[in-house]
Amino acid sequence: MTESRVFRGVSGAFAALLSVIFLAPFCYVLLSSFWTGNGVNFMPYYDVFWAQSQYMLRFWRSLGLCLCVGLGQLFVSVLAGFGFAKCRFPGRDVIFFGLMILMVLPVQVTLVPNYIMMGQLGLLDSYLALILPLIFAPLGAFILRQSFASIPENIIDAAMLDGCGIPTIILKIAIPMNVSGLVCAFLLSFLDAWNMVEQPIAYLRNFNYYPLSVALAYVPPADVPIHLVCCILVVLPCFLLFAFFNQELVEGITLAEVK
Amino acid sequence: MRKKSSGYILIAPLVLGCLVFYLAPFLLVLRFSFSAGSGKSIRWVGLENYQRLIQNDSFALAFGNSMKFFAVGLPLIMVLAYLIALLMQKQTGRHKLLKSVFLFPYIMPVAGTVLLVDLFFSEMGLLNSLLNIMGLPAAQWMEGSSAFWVTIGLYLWKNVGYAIILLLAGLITIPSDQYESADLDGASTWQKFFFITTPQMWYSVFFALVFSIINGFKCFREIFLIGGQEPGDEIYMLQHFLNNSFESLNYASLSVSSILLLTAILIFFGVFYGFVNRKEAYRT
Repeated sequence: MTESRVFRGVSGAFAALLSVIFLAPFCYVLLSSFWTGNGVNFMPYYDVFWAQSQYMLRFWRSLGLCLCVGLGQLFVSVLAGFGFAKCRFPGRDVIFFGLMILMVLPVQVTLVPNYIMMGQLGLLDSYLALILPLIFAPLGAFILRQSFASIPENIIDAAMLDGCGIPTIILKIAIPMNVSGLVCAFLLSFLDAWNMVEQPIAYLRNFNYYPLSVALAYVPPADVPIHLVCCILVVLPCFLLFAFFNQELVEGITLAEVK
Repeated sequence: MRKKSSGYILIAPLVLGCLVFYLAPFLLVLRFSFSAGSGKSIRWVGLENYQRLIQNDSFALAFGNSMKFFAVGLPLIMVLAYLIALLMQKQTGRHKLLKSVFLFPYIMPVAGTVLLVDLFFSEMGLLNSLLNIMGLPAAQWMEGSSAFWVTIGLYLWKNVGYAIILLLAGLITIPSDQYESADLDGASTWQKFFFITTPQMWYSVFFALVFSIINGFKCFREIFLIGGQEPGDEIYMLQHFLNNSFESLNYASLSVSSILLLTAILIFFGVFYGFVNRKEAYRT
């Protein structure tokens, strides 16, 4: 439909306003991290990134943890997503629906039994207790199943006629065609892991092992500038990933609802 | 050639992992909710735990607060996202980056938002300073009933972008010639919205709702990090109750509250999903 000039102007202004609302807090934190009342001061940055190693140590540990989760979930979700999308077997839709229900469960519901189980497996107080449940979260499979469902059947049939087995099909056809879905699934599971709060508190006893997301809130540095720089540090990986992959993220989220 | 067995093999890792880490614990929780005692002295007590818990004051407060949070937050986020999606439809087509701007608060880590809330809403925070400059008295944002609205505001700011994108995706699939022919027939904006947009958007609305609920539960993280283990009465949510029961190893109340929570979720989803399916029945 054609829109009037007025509407276009108003909606443009509204878009700008929204952008300000959504971005302003982050810009404020960024600015005040090196701008104190007296001028530009980069000392807090030097402290956090170089002098006081505790922050960077926690940072690299958290990063390793989340990468493990992201890659692990990617692997499991690619297999499951392809299976749900392209293979026909009895009970497929029922199982998928069950997984959807599990996706909605808040963490606390399974926290206690997981705690008991980890205790019996001897995994408490180790990073495996954090990694394993997150690897098997259904969200990635959900997104990838929608994304793989859009692969045309005749391509797969042609490949099978040429004698490709399923692993080859996944590697050579499904994955290259759906890179944005894969990136989105990885990003979302990385974000989930980077933000996890309940699991470290429950499963880890040693405060030194706490990932960055929780540790910062528990022991806020008394120094406001250092606090702000830590905030920047926490945002940094997410921001970088987002800066490079925001198109894929948007596409992936949109894909999740294609019928 | 796409044998049944290959399907099962492919989904095996995920399903097995889910069984071990999500389903089995859930069944354990179910069993706990019907028993009392721990260790060797577990005995079946039927619905006694449920009765006791419903009469528990803390639980009633927590459950009521969580329901209030969703009853207020979900409609707000859906209306807000829908409005923004409708208004921004053309703008996002023109400026590709706009969708990413909408998602920006979502990727902000929990620790970051907690710091932000501290900066803005604490007693010496930004908002109070602004109020002081304007000569108005500073308010206690994080205490009492305003804490609830701060939480809602945080939930909206963080998650409205996700819902906007989902709704935008649905809006784009509606062919524009339907709107044009409606214009030719002299339909008002309201009529166009009701008779063209809404019937085709139910599926997208459902998805936006599902993900808003998932994100709403995740909002607990911020509340927990801001308010601590025993926050004020207004924002004492179900998950606080679960957490505290966890701390005191009160398996019974923990399990019952989890089951009740899940029942509420399932009922809501069942009803809404049935509603959406009925509305979408005319489409293949």
